[in-house]
Amino acid sequence: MYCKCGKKAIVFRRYSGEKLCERCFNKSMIERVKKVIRKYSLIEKNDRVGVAVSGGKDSLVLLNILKKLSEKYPFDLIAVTIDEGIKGYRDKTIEIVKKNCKLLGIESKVYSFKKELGHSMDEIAKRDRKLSACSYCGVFRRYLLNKKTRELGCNKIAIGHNLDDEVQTILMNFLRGDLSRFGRTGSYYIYSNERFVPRIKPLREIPEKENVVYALSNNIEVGFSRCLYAGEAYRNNIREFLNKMELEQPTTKYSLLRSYDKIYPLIAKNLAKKVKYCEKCGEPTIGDICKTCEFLEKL
Amino acid sequence: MIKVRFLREDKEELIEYKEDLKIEDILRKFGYSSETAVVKRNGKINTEDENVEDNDDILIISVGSG
Repeated sequence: MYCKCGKKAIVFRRYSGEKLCERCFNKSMIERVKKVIRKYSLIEKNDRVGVAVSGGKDSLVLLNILKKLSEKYPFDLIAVTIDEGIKGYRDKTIEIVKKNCKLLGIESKVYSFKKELGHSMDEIAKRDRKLSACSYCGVFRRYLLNKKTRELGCNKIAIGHNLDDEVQTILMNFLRGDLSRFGRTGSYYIYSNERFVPRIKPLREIPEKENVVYALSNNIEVGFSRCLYAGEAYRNNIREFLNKMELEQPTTKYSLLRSYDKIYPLIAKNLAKKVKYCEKCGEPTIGDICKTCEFLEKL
Repeated sequence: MIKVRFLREDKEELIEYKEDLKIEDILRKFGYSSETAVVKRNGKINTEDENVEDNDDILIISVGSG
């Protein structure tokens, strides 16, 4: 299989029919991320972007691509890592983040659950609890990312959500009937407030597989290990279903994203809830008390 | 024989070489597809339609999450 330039292809995009060699693939990845940023005005002049970097492939590919773009366009980057306190997993990926940031010349900040909230995930996981470890982890991670990037003077948080993450989330929320969440998976925010740092997803149109190819092809050191507590069965079922559908009909994931993006402006205002301030900690929330305060009380 | 390694699972297997064996056949054999894995053949990223040769070293990188 050969690229249109004549070189041997390393990627075949079944959804578009493109066959790309290493050079054309890398160029195409940068162009596609630029296109998404432009399309939704995700990054503007003089923005200070906090990149949420876990050490996995998606966040490190995002960091590398944004670094390339920041050399041409006027915006600042800082890497922000949340250390959930998962021994044997997060400690390893934090080292990978630090190595990448050093190579790229990007400032890196690490904030831990233990220091900031008083509990590590290893401690939470050992407790008798009604919710899954992932529920606590997701809430605490989003809370700290928002708070810390704001304190660092960032006006955007870039997260490495890829096409697969997006379509899985859209379908999951729809099937669960969680219309509030369904109404806030778009590429921009309807409601915001001054303590809420908008999250941007520049990789939302890049299939997960292509992030792996980009990392391998650019020799980006990424962590491939899985979280010890990972096991969101429902998401795994949705992932399997979408991958199966994509094999049978190679535009399934893009069609789902495009359909969602078309209806998003129509549903977002009705379904998304207004952002208020938590009565306890003052952080942004859609309820009276934020989930972090609610969960911390139960621990 | 063809050596098949799995990056995320830290294991390797040997499979018998057959004429016209493609990377996608190997992926299918181990429960993967072009959607769920990237393959390096002898250290280079390959598309799934490529034929493999005897004594090839195949590395399967599960796309997974993270």
